[in-house]
Amino acid sequence: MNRFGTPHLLIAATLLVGGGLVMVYSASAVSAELEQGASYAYLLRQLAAAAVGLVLLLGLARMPVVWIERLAYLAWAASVVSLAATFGPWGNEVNGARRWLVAGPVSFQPLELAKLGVIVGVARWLSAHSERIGDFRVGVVMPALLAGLPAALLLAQPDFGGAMLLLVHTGVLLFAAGARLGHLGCTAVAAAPVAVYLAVGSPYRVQRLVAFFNPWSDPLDTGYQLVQSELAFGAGGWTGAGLGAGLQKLFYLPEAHTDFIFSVIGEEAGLVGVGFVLACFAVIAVSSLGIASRAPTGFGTLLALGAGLVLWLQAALNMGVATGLLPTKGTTLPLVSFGGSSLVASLVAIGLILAVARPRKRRRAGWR
Amino acid sequence: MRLSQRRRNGGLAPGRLRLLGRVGILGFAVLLARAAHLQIYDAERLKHIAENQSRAVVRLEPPRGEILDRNGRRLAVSAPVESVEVSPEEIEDRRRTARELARALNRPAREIFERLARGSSPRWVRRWISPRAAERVRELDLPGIRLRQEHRRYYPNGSLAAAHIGFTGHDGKGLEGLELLFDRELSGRGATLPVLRDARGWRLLLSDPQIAVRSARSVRSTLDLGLTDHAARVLETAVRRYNARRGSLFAMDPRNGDVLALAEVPSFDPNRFWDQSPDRFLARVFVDAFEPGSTLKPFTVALALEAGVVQPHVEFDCEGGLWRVRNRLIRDYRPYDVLSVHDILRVSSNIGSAKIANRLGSMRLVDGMRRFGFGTPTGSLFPGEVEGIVRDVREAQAVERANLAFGQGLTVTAAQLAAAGSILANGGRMVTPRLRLDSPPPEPGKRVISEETARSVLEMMRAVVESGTGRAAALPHHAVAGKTGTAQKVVDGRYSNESYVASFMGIVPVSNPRLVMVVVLDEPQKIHTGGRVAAPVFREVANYAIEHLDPQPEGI
Repeated sequence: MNRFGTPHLLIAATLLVGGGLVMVYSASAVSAELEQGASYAYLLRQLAAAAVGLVLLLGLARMPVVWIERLAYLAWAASVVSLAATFGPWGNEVNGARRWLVAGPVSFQPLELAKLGVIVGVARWLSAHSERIGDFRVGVVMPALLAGLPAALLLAQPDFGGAMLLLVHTGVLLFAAGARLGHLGCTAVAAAPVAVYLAVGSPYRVQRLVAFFNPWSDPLDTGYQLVQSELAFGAGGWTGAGLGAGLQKLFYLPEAHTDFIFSVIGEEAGLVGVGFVLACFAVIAVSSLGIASRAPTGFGTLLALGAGLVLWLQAALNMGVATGLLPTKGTTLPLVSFGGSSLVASLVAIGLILAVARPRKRRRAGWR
Repeated sequence: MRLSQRRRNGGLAPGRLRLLGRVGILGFAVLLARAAHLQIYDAERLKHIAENQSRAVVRLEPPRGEILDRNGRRLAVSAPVESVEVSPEEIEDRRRTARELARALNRPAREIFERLARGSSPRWVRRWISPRAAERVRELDLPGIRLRQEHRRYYPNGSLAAAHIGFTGHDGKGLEGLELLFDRELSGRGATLPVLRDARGWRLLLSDPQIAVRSARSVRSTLDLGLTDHAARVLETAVRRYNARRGSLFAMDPRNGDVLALAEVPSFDPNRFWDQSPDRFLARVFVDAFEPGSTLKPFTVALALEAGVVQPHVEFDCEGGLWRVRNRLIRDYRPYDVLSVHDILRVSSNIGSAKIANRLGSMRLVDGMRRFGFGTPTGSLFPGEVEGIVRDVREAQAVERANLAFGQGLTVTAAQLAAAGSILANGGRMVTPRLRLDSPPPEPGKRVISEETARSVLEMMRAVVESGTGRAAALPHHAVAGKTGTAQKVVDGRYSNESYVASFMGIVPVSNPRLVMVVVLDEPQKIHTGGRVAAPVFREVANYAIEHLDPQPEGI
């Protein structure tokens, strides 16, 4: 197995967060100046989130994994409650979707908590019942419930992409935990028509799909985001326009500092910067998998794997969307994009991996 | 075996973890390949598109230069004025924006609403609004609505010489008159600057506009505002008193060609040219040629004197006022038996003029008229200036020759008449009417007639004012030379006995001429002779000019 571990993970994460702060400032300065009156408005909020995330990271990294294991269902329940709360008085509707909880100056996206909550919940269930994972009830029904309930709430927000993400995470955990490929396959086949129906059922998703397959057919409307994103990469070339010198963030790219920050990186730092970001996420993937494979407990393995997934799988999806490989779906680039919930959750995920990686006392590893 | 392996890894499947890792690495490799495709293979094309959408140029125009009179008083100025522009995409509430904007601009809400229609590029809602309306709009501070400073043209003297000064369109380009003639200098050299354009249509300059924009220059015209103002009033009064269709006045300095005063009645307000009748835009002194009638006789006489075929005291039989040439009867206003050349001009005898022309011959008469400048534009370069018509006349065409001798069968402009009169006034040299004071001083013109001939004709014209048809032009303290004209207009192909063009060409003072003026009144009613209708206008204006003009204008 690979030798990548804590130091590699930390270095990659630090580079991404640091570089992310620079890129958030670059991508948001103009719009922040116009809308908030200060070019550094978003940067300051991102710094605050980074500080909060760092505290949580350090706390979690020192926490025994068994504690996390014990709190797993509680975390799962908390995420379900927070998702449900978006339909309550604190829920905030933006563009017809209730994805945010708002309390005073702080707003929070329950999806970010739910991603981690489902992972710890499913990891605990699967590790606790690993001997009987071949059972239909253990290997299919319970994981489906653990992921399905929050996913259903997400669908109701509606957040189709978020729901899919939870199911995919759960599927990967099941796969890694050794679930029967037959079970996984059948479930996937059974779920496919539902997913297709949901995807095609709403016109804007159909439009997105059409736009994905041929963005240049309608570059000013449905294909606009993709076209502008591709233009950003093209304008960047090998070495980029230089930090801050990109033009696509001047409202050509939608959500330049959040969902499409990878495009801004592509334009300003060029293929060099893009390769650097890809390398960092690859290091995160490899080191989290290495830590997972070396974990003393099944829960630790699944936890490190799942927390890693939250980072690198979502990163791959986000970058796939930005480069036009995947249909448009609003996700952040973990550790890099602007967004307090996202950054905090990403750092918490790192903290969870570090907790698994922490060298522990012998007595805990009795059945090794 | 499978079971034990699972045990060692916490009951899980390590092979699957490894597989996941490989899939992950593969995914990142695909992403890298895709990025490389976009950033290397496709880069040229994409970069080109991206640059096209974010690069633009803006055209910066300096404020248009002023048109000044010869003493630096302002005839046309550019004043900052504000216009309302909309960026439709930034509007939050079209209906509300339209309503509030309509109130501020004092326009119907429906009209404004339509102006705010969807679209991406900024456009005008309303241009050139009053400062108070601009203040109201500024206070509203509506998203998507901006005030843009522009420059608009003001003509502080209103209708004064409006047709000659001309005006500019909404884009600030000269459309007529001096505005058009001097357009290049007045516009100045603006600058085309590269700008960055963001997706909301905001523009960012990439270089310092101060360096690039060359300010426009003001142009000093030769016009004298005071004289022009006076001329317009006097002409206006005359046109009204004699119920004429219209009147024109052209005054110039015969020594250097400076055009000192121009007037057209009726005139128009160039500040609001768009809602006024376009036929008033014509600077008729340059662009409208008419049959001058007797006002042309001094040139016939001058040519005959110059050719040596007559002397001032040589007498002609004036046939008792009625003379048949071929099958054409030529009449004089009053019958005379015998008149000297001097008196022929003084009393304006058609028969005498025709007989003088007979001595000269058709060829020399036509050539001479052309040398006086008739039949070609004066060289003033005034936009649209016409040349008039001077036809060739064969020696056998006695009727045509006779007609030409007293100003029929050719058309001239007031400018041509004044320029030709200036040749008589300045001792026989061609002079080009000059509209721009700060142009290089004119070269002495080509000699057309000898100084002696010029002097001699001037003396005869002095008699016209002292004791002939032009007595109404006389000034108390200065000798005036002049010639009246009362031309029948051609109506339905024949000379009418009801429609006349009354004209007067005057030169003052005779001893050292400083002013040549042509006054034309079109279709004065009841009283219609040049001596009664046009000569008094000359007197009034010349009187003012003598008192107010510099005795020694520059460029002599």
